[in-house]
Amino acid sequence: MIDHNVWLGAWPFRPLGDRGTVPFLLKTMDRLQIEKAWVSALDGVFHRVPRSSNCWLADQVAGHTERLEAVPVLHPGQANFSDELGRIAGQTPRPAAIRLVPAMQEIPPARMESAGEELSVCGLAIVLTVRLVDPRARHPRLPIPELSVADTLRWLKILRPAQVILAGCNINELSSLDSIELPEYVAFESSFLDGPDSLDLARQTVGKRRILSGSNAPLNFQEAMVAKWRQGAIPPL
Amino acid sequence: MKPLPMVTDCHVHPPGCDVATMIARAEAFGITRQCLFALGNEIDPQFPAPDGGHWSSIGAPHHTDAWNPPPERITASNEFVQSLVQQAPDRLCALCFVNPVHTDHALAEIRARVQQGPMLGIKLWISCKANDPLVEPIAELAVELDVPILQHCWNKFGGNMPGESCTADVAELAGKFPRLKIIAPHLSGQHEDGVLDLAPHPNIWIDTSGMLPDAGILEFAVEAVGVNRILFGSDLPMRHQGSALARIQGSALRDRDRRAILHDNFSRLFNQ
Repeated sequence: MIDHNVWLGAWPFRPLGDRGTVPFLLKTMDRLQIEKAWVSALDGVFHRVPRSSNCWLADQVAGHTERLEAVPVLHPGQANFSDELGRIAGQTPRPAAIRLVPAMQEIPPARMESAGEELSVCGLAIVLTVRLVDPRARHPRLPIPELSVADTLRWLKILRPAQVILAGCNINELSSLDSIELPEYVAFESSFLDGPDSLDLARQTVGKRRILSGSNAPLNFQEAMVAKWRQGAIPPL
Repeated sequence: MKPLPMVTDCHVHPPGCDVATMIARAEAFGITRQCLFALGNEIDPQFPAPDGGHWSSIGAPHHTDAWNPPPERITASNEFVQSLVQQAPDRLCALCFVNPVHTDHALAEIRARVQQGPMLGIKLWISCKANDPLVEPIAELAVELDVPILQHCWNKFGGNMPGESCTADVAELAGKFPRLKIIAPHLSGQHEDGVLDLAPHPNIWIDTSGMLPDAGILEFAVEAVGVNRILFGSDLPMRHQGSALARIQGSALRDRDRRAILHDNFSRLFNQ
């Protein structure tokens, strides 16, 4: 099992103890028999220019690259976006994906278009983050709203034909997006598909191979992902 | 893998499946007992569900008054829940859903289903807030019968619905009736400051149901209110029971504290 939606680092709105560290993550993955995780740096969500957090991420996963796949965060609105995208895409080995959190920034439409063009041909998969937390539980000062279905569609159109993984969609959003003939290159990460039948419904709606396992840990639990995907009891911490 | 101890899910609405399936699904995650309650919209005598079964807990599509169900729907929904429990009384138990706006009906339902059995307590939702005087006769009867009230509450970003209690409202009810046992559900929706609203009242228990389980808040609640005042709940069918259980299994708790949350606290609170 691969966890396609993991963060490292601290969350400013709630103490998470050591949950955002590599040792905790690896220990949990061992306990739950998760083979691999795609990890991004939480700091990168909040930094205007996430380069330092991406470098920190690279240091964190060094030595564990067989289990942890670094997924750098990029902000299309940042001034040196092209350079940073080039730097990341030119790394050896190349990361499997990069992560966007578009709701974090006000991105002018023209900038969105030009960044999208570059992203669509960079050869990297793109994790498009729809949400990090349940909207009802947002901290009043958390500046990240959800990416609306309309904005998600705009991004999908702009990013065509890159492989896009939508992280944090709920079942209603998935159904709404599917109703408008979603392109084949779009997949859905499962952390916010949390009803008893949501995974099955999602598979029926968009096809089994377009649903990817993910947890949104450490904000949420890898245990929850495993319980939903394996439909069985999980060992305690 | 360590076997799970007895596990009671204290917060379950009737899911859209038969009792055998419901029990089997829960057992797959190690959940051995489920406490069911209606929201008053599951059965509508005027508008039967197309398959002859029941509407989901969210209610039939035509219900524009889902938050304030009338007596006949409440009676029918409680009757339905009771019929489920009667099919597997060793695996299922129930609370009696009432609407305080219909005071006489609420008191009669409690007398008929809790005092006479088999229901174990009372469920209040969002027809009025916990600190509304309409709740007082129900609280008095709950004290008389020595049964808990599970009072929905949430501290929502952007504001609650009209009639939807926040933690401060529940704390006010607890202060007015110190002998009343109250379960304040939806830990993640309470947030840390909501937990602190509830903490000073030893007659309030917190359940962990609702929302995608978020890490950190359970450990916070254990420290703030004590492990003996926390109950495991899922909010099925809005939430996945395995995912809800993951919150307990994935949190940094001692084994005995995990056992307390998963079953022992429920057992003590309901004398089961």
